[in-house]
Amino acid sequence: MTALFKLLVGDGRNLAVVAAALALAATLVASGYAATAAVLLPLALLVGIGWLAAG
Amino acid sequence: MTAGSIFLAAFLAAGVEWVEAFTIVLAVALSIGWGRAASAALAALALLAAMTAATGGLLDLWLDGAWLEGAIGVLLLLFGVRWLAKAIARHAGLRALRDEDLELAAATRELARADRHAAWLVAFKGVLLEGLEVWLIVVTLGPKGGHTFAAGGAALAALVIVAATGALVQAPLRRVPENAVKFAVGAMITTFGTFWTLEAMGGAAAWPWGEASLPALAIFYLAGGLVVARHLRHRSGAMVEP
Repeated sequence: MTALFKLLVGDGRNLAVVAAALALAATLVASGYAATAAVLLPLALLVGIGWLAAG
Repeated sequence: MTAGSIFLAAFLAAGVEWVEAFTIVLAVALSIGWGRAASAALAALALLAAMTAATGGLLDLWLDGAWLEGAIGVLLLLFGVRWLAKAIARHAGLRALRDEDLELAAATRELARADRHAAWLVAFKGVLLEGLEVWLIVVTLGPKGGHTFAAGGAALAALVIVAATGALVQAPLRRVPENAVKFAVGAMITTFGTFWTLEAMGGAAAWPWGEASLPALAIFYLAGGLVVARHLRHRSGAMVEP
């Protein structure tokens, strides 16, 4: 089960990157800026990916 | 979304996982023979096939469109972000590239202390663990738009090619450019995850260009990933093999 959970979610840093990016996107969508979210979500994810790669 | 892009992503992702699984099966085959090693691999593959059929069907039956899209989008992001980050780190020289010869040597050392039953389990567990990633990709890429057959067929095609090549050469498949493939697959899976998650949140308004946004997203993650890798390499001063 641990292996399956790790496969689905990854580690805490991975989860934090995706959660933070999605929280940003959800906030923008809820505020009526869905098109802005389409630009900022990929950017936020790439920054997070860079952070993960550096760590 | 074309079935072709789903097929390509699933084929490439499954291909690198099957290559890694083959190295374990090869080590076991050298220890207890091809017959027993193949039986362990087939048992693991049968379990994976059953899991794929069951979970793929459940996803189709139990979740409505938006929930399905959101759930699989988040899973794809969790998976794709991890793959892309690892591939960038390896491209930048911050992590060692996977070496199938070293993996074979490590598995052979481990098997030297194992009896036949334990060796069989090593092959079974190895194929199962590598195959779980294939299962995840097939069941997440497949249901949206009814592409489960394309994703499953791609994984099966990759399996046949890797197994046939492995049986022919009976050596680690070291010529497969695993990190380049993982880089591309990580970008593709992150692309699908980004698109579906935001579409589930914001509807069609989130992507004014619709599915035409997918190639742009893929290029963004590929090019952006290369830029990040270059920056990390420059910052660390790491030496990277060409």
